[in-house]
Amino acid sequence: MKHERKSTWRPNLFDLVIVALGAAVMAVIVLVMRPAAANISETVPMEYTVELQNMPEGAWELVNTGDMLYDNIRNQAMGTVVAVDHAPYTRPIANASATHVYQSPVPNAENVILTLRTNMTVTDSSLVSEGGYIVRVGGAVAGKGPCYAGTGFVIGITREGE
Amino acid sequence: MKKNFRLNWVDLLILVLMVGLVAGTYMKFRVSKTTNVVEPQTPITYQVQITNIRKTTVDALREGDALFDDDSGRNIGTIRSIEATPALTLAVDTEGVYHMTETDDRYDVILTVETKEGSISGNTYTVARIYTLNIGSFRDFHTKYSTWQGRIWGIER
Repeated sequence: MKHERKSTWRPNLFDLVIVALGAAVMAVIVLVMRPAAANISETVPMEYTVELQNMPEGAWELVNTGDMLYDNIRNQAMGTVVAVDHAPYTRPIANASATHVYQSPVPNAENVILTLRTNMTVTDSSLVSEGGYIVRVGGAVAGKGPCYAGTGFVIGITREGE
Repeated sequence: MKKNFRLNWVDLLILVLMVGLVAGTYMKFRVSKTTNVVEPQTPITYQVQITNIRKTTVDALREGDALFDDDSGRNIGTIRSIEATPALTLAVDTEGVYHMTETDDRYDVILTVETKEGSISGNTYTVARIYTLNIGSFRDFHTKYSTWQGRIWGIER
């Protein structure tokens, strides 16, 4: 005699309740954990200025407009060089009677000042370059170009609309 | 007709756990928020001191800029006034005596910051629900346009 195997599983009330509760829990988790709507207002072309400090004298001549500067730590594109300048690299030093602290130029060293242009993502609290670099005056910079690299700070940002 | 439904203890346990999970999630994310909304929010005005910064950083500060705590990213107020003076730094003379000495091209700044999202409990001043103002503490701050380390310098009571 041939025995037919029948499925023994039949949905019961508790199975349905558990499935419904599981779906409800998933829905709640999705609703609660979903990321807040990004507070991005716009992407605009902007210029900002960085200063690479204590560079070898004459290093600024290696910089060409059109160079792409990258963050040397995260390899994020910081922007394209649109202007190059240089200034003495100075260190603070007090006079003998300690009545005044001067910024004294350091021999054989200079600061390289680069103006960069990038499409900036603008939010309420930050400006972020196309490559993901957060731009704020006073923020540390570790920048590298095609044949030069240096550390320093962001020293200026042209505000939107100015 | 024979009823084939029977309650067993495993079903019951799972049901209790699921109800508990839903209730817990609801309490955590909905009820507690509702409670926070009705918390009294007290305006607080406080000062932040920044020392020995360059003119470029001073110029990047503007009245009306929102101020953020670097660690949490929270908005902790709006800059109401900026008072910049020539920086005083510690220097030692040839006799080994320390002086607070005016320094070229560097500035000390006092920012007055105002927030409407404060709360005061006894002698504890809290901003943006979690940010406690401790006079003398150094913190990293930023605005949209600048970043620096500052020190909570005073609270207007």
